[in-house]
Amino acid sequence: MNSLIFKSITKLVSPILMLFSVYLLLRGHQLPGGGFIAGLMTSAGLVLIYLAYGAERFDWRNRNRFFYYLFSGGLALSFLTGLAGLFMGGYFLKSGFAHVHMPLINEDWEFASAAIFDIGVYLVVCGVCVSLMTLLGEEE
Amino acid sequence: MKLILPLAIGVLFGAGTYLVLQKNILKLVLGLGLIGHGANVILISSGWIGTGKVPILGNEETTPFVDPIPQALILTAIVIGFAALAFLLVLSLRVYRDLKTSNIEEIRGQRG
Amino acid sequence: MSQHLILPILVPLGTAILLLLLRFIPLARLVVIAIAAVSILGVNISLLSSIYKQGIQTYQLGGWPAPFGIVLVGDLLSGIMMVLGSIIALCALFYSFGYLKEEGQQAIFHPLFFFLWTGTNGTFLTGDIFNLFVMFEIMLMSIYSLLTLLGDKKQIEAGLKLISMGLLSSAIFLAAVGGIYALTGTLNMADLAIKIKPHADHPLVSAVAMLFIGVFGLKAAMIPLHFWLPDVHSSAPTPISAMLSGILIKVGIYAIIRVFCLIFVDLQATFQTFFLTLACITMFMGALGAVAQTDLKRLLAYSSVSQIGYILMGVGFFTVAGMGAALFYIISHGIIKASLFLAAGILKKMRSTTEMSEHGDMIQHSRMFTIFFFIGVISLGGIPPSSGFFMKFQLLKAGLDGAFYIPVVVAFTVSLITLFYLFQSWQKICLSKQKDLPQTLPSFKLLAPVGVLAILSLALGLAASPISELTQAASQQLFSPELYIKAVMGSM
Repeated sequence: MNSLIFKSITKLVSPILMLFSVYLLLRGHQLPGGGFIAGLMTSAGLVLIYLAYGAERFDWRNRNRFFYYLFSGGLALSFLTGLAGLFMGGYFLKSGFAHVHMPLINEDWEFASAAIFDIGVYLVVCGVCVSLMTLLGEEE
Repeated sequence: MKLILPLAIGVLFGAGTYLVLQKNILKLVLGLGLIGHGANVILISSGWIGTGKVPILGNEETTPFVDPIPQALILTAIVIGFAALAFLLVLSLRVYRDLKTSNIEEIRGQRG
Repeated sequence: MSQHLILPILVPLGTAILLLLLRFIPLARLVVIAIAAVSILGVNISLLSSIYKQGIQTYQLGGWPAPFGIVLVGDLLSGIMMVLGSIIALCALFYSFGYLKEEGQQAIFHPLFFFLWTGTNGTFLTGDIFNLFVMFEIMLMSIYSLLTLLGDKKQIEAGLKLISMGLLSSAIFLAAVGGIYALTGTLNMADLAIKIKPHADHPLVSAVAMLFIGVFGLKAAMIPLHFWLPDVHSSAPTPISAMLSGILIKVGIYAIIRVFCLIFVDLQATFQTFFLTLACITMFMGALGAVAQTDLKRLLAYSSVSQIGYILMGVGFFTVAGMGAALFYIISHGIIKASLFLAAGILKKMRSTTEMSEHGDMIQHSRMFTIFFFIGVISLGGIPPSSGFFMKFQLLKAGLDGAFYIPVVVAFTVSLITLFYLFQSWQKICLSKQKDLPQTLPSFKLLAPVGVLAILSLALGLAASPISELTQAASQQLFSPELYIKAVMGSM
């Protein structure tokens, strides 16, 4: 697609999408959000870039191995979080959390092991969606 | 609101069935997706409580809540349906490339 | 509470992920696969023995107590099914190394195969109706990809059918779950069994039961929902055909047994005639379909439909003896059918077709193949001393004891037809003259799993009494659902 409007809009929108997806990922523990939605949003941003610029800036097809390792690594991360629950909490997928005092802003932040699981999900969704899109978008 | 959910279910299933009965393979994919969403709406209606609020931590005072479990369930179901549909889409693309047709009747090569 | 119950899900899942990461290191994958496959079988056998000794075991995922979190429940039925699944999967896995020649295919096949294994084990263990759906989908998703892996035209067409079927059935499943949740407000199967008791006469309960029969019947391929099976089972790569016919159609039967012996206990009498009628039709039509086939894999696929009818008949008696016989039938048929499908795969390798008229003279080319195939034929045909004789004998005896004369007569007639078409196919493939020489001779890698399964089915016939004691015990346990409920809810 070779439209100047689309390209400029993409330049503007895709960073916002990426930032918003990180926000969604991090708030997912207590509020609407989470790994799946954030992953979809990130891959939406990536797909937007793919549609606007194609292989102009980034050689998608030769990065297949990167996205492959992205989703298998994400899967492994989620699985390992579950295993950590098994060894530390006594049950598979048992989640734990800790309050950590942040020195500079003087606030208590809650860190939950479920967040690590969510990051794994995020990586899986990103990897799968992008490799799916590049696969579907391949020209004959 | 009482009318919207059943109406949505009916429309989704009806449109889905119509699309599934078409000959074009892409319409089959879309139709199956719509039927899946119809089922999701059925599931969400099983946790429906009148004027219930959103079940999010932090506004416990504003009772009643809608039941959060069906919502969690359909989230799972949506993800699963998404994956299956994506796979079906790739497969139908493959069919189109191999056989150069998107007509279901022309794909049928095997004996019953 | 033991950690034992989670292992049949964790080990294959972890293996699958590890295999994904090791995609480009073939040797490491080989080591991982060998260790994991044997250890899964070991875990499942030790689990079955501990269930047999100590009764039903439960496990709370994430530490959430019973009706709120997802529980895993291991009773004798799930233990038996898991061990059967592992035996067949181990043979299919070994076979796949000889069957898939390309390194790249194996790199995708094996992780998916372990995901499939995760799904089957999970289906047998879960005690939550929605988790059952999720596990079903894990299983189905792996089958979709495994089926279309080689990219053959027939496979892609069969895949299209299977996925459409799968999407439709998951929609129905969700609708059924919605109905039952609206009525009872719970998803835990043991809790459902308690909460549905007062509503037993509610029409919604029968409607939901019927939806469940539709969903699980589609998976078990009972007529009239069998339409997808012959295409899918015959065009799948052979190790997957063996898994499909050996264990995956039994997953549907397992789910029917589970819901009708736990949740819809009060509906057993209502649905009995329905089940028996469907069973008779399935048996008969499947066998008729098999007689008409000229392709060995399609013949075996239709035969699977027919045998599902037998199992459904045993379930439909709703007596302890009938259920025990059905479980014995599941074990025995799973092993025999897997062996026969793997044998058909050898034929495919030899002449790149499974059309029976293209084959012949197997007795000249490979004595071992002829013998193993013959064992499979007499076992499925029900000739003593094979396990097939005992599986049919127990089933018919249970039917006569319960005074179900018509199904017994149908079953007996159909078993004669079965014997006919199986012997005919054996005769065509092994004895008849064929001028063309085969491309290759069966290799040890392909013959060994066939032989192991064939010998196992003979051994099952010789050691029929301890196994049928086990299945009877499992059946006893199924007909006292309060044991299951107490095991799950007792820890509250």
